[in-house]
Amino acid sequence: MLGFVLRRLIIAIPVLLGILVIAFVFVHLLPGDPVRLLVDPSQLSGAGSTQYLAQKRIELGLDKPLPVQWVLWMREVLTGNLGFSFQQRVPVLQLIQERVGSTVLLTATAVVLAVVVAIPVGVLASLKQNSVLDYLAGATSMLAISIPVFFLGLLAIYVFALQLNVLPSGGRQTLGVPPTLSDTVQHLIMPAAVLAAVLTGPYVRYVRQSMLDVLRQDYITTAVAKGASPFRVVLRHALRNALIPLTTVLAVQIPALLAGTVVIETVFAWPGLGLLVFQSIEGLDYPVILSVVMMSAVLVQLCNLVADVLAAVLDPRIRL
Amino acid sequence: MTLCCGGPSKGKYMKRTVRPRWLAILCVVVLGLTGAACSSAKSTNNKAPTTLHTVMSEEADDLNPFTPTLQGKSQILSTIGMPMLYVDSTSKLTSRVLKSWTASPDAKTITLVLKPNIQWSDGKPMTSADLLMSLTDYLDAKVSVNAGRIGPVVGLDALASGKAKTISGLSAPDKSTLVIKLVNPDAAWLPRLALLGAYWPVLPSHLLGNVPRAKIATDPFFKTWPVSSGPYLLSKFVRGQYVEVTRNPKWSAGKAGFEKVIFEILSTDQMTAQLQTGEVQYVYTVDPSDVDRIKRISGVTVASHNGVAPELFGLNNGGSVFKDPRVRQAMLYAIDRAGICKTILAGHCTTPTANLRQIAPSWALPTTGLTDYNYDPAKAKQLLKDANWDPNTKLTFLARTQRSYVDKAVTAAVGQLNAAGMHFSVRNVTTAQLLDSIGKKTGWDAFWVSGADFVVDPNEWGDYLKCAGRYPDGPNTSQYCDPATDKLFEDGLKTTDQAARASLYHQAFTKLNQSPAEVYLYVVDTIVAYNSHLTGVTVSGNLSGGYWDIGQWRWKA
Repeated sequence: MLGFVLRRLIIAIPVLLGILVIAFVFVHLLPGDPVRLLVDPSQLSGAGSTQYLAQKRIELGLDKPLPVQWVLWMREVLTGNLGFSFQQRVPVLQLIQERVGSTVLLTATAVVLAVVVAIPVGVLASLKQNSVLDYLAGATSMLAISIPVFFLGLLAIYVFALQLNVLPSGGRQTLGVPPTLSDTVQHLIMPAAVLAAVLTGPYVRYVRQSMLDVLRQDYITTAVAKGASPFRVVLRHALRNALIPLTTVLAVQIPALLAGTVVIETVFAWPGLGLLVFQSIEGLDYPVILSVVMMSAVLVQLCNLVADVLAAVLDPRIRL
Repeated sequence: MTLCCGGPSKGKYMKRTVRPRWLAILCVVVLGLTGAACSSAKSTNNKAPTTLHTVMSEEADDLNPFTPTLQGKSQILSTIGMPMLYVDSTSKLTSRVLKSWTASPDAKTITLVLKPNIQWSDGKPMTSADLLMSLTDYLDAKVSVNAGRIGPVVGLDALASGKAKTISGLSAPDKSTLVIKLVNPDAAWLPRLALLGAYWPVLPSHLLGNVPRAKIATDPFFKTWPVSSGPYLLSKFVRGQYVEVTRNPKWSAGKAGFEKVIFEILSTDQMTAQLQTGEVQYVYTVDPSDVDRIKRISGVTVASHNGVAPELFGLNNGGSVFKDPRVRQAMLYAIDRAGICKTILAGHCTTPTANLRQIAPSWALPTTGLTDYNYDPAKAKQLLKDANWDPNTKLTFLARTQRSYVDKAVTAAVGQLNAAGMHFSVRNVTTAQLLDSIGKKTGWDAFWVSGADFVVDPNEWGDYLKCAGRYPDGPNTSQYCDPATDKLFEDGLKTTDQAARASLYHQAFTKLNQSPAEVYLYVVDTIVAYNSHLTGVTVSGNLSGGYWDIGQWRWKA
C-alpha cells in the first residue's frame, strides 16, 4: 500500500505541472487587461493615470514575457508564496486562508449530512425495492436533483427566516458580538441543509443502485445461507461493498465543492471561496485564479488517492 | 435471491434494518442541535439599539485612499475620516473641518481655512500641516491614483520629476490656513476637491509626516486607521465580509448616535430578507424595482433623492457609423425613455429629455433653445432616411449583466432601436472585455454605462468629452471629440464669475443638445431603506455620499 501511495504521489507531480501550465496559459488568454481593470474609467486623467498604470504593470510583473512570468510564479509557489492579489492587494495565501475555513465548514457539514441521510435511505430503498418507500425515496431524490439550488435556498430563507423567524437569513455569524458555537450553528443550518439536500439526491440513487447490485451477488446468498443475521449481511457484507462507488463520487465531488459553492454562498451571504473565485475571474485576478486552480488540482489528486485507498480498505479483493 | 424482493425473509430483514441504534442516536443529536439553535435564533435578531447594522452598495476592498477607489471604500472613509470639503444632500459644498474655502477672482489661488478646535481621535489638534501633507500625497501621481483628477498645482512638475520634495504651490502661512497656487485658472477646483472629498480624508501629519512618500501608500496605518477624525473609528475590517466602526469620543462635530456601526455587503434578496427580519437597519442603495416590495415591510421607511448622473448608451463616435448627428438624434427619438422610466424603473427616475448629461446647477443649464427628444419613432425613421442610413448596417451593442432593471431597460431600448431600423445585435461581455473593446476602438458601436456626478459643477461633463481624454487616456469612453466644445469648457474654468461661466456652458450644452454625444436614458433616484426607528437620515444623490451624515443618525425607541 505504501508503495502504491508513493507511486501515485510521484505521478501526481508532472500531472500537476501540466495542469498549471495549461491553467496559466488559459488564464492569460482571457480577454481583457487586468491593469486597465484596476481603475474605473472615470478615475482616468491622462498622463497621471498612464504613469500610475505603467507603474502598476511593472509592480505586478505583467510587463514581462509570458514564459518568464510562469517561471517567476512557479519559483514563488515552490517557496510557499502564492503571489499577490491584483484586485484585493493582499497576499493570495492570506486571502485563501480568510475564506477557506468558511467553505470547509459549509461543505464538510453538508457532505456529512448528505451521507448520513443518503446511506440509510438508499439502503432502505434497495431493501424495499418497488415499494412505496422506494418510490418516495426516488421521487424525493429526483426533486432534490431537479430543483435549482438558488431556489431551494430562497425558499428556505422565506420559510425559516421570514415566516417562522427561527433562523438567521444569512451570514456566518451575528456581527458586532463575540462569536459563539451556538451562533455559528444557527447560521450554518440553512446553507448546509440546502447544500446537503442537493447532494443527497444523487447519493441516495448511487447507494440504492449499488446496494441492489451487491445484494444480487453470490457471496450475499452464501452469507445468508451460512446463517448470518440480516443486520450483519446488510451492514458488513452488502453495504461495505456498495459504498465503494460512493467514495469515488465523493472523492471527485469534494474538491469541486470547495471552489464551486458560489450559488449557495451568494444566496446565504456565506463568506467562502466560491465568491472569491467568481470575483477573481471577473476581475482577471490571475494569481488568485491560478492558486485556486492549483489547490483544486492538488485536492483532486489527494482525494482520488484517498478514494483508491478507501476502496482497498472496504474491499479486500482490490489489491493496490 | 429473495433478500429484498419478497419471500419469507423480507419482513425479518426490514424489521432489523430500520432500527439501527446508531441511526436513532444520530437523529436525536441532529434534532437536538437544530432545536437548540432554533430556540435561540430570535434572540439573535433582537439587536441592541446601540449597534447599527447597515448594508453598503459596494464592497470596500481596502481602506487605502491612494489605491483605486470604489464606492464602498469612499463610504467607509467618509465615516472614519473627515474630508476637507464634501457635497451635501443639496449638492452644495460644505465642510466639517473648514471655516472657509475661497477661490480668487482669477481662479488661480485657493485658500482653505480650518475651523478652530478640530481634533484627531488621539486628542492632537488638526492643523494646516495636516492639510498640506494630505494634499501633497493626494496630488502626487506616483502615490495616488486620483492625483490627475484635479487641476495641476504650481510645483507639481518639480515633485514629479524628483527635482523637489515638496509642492511649492502649497503653503501654510499659519496653523489654520492653506494656500494653493494653481498652474491654470480653474473655477472648478473646489467643486472637484469636494467630489473627491469622500476619497480624500485629511490625514494626520503627526503620524504620517515622517513616512517617505514612496512608502506612504503601503504604510500599515491604512490597514487599521489607529487615529482618525470622523464620527466613528475603525475597529474591524474583515475583507469580503464586513467593516465595524466604533464611536469616536473626540469627534469635533459632536457625539455620534451609535456605539458601533457595522457595514455589510449583501445581495438584493439577502438585503430585503435581513431588513424584514431586523438583522439590518439601513440599506444603501435599493433598486427601483425593489421599492414596492420593501415598502410593504412594516416598520421600514423608504427615502430617495434625485440621482446625480444619467445612465446612458455610450456610442463609438470614433468610427463612421454615428458621424451624422441626425443618426444620433434618431436614436433619441427611437427610444421611449420616459416609458422605460415609468414602467421598468417604476417611476423612480427622471428623463433627460433634452439629452444633457449635466443635471445641475441650474445657473449653468440653458432654459431656451433646446430640443426635447420625446419618443417619436416616425421622426426617428425620417431622420435616418434623411441621413441615408443603410438599414442593413450591422451594429454591435456590448452588454454587461447588471441589476435586473438595467438589463430590462437595455433590452427595451435596443428593441426600439431595431424597430426604428438600427439593427443592433447584443454581445454579452464582462467588464474586462468591455474595457478591452472600448480601448481598441473597434468591434463595437454602443454599450451601457453609468456613474459620476453631474450636479455640482458644469465642468464635470466636459471631463467626459475632452478630445485628450478619449479612453484609454481618460474617461471619454464614447470617443467624442469636438475641439470647439473643448474650448468652451476650458474657457468656463478661467473665471469664477458665474454669469460669464453660465454663458459659456449654455453655448456648450446647446451644441451638445443639437449634436448628441451619447444617449442619456434616465437618471435613477438614489433610494435607501431603513428601520423607522432610525432618525436623522438625509439622503444624498451622490453615490459616494451614502453615509455623509452618519454622525447625525440616532435611534428613537
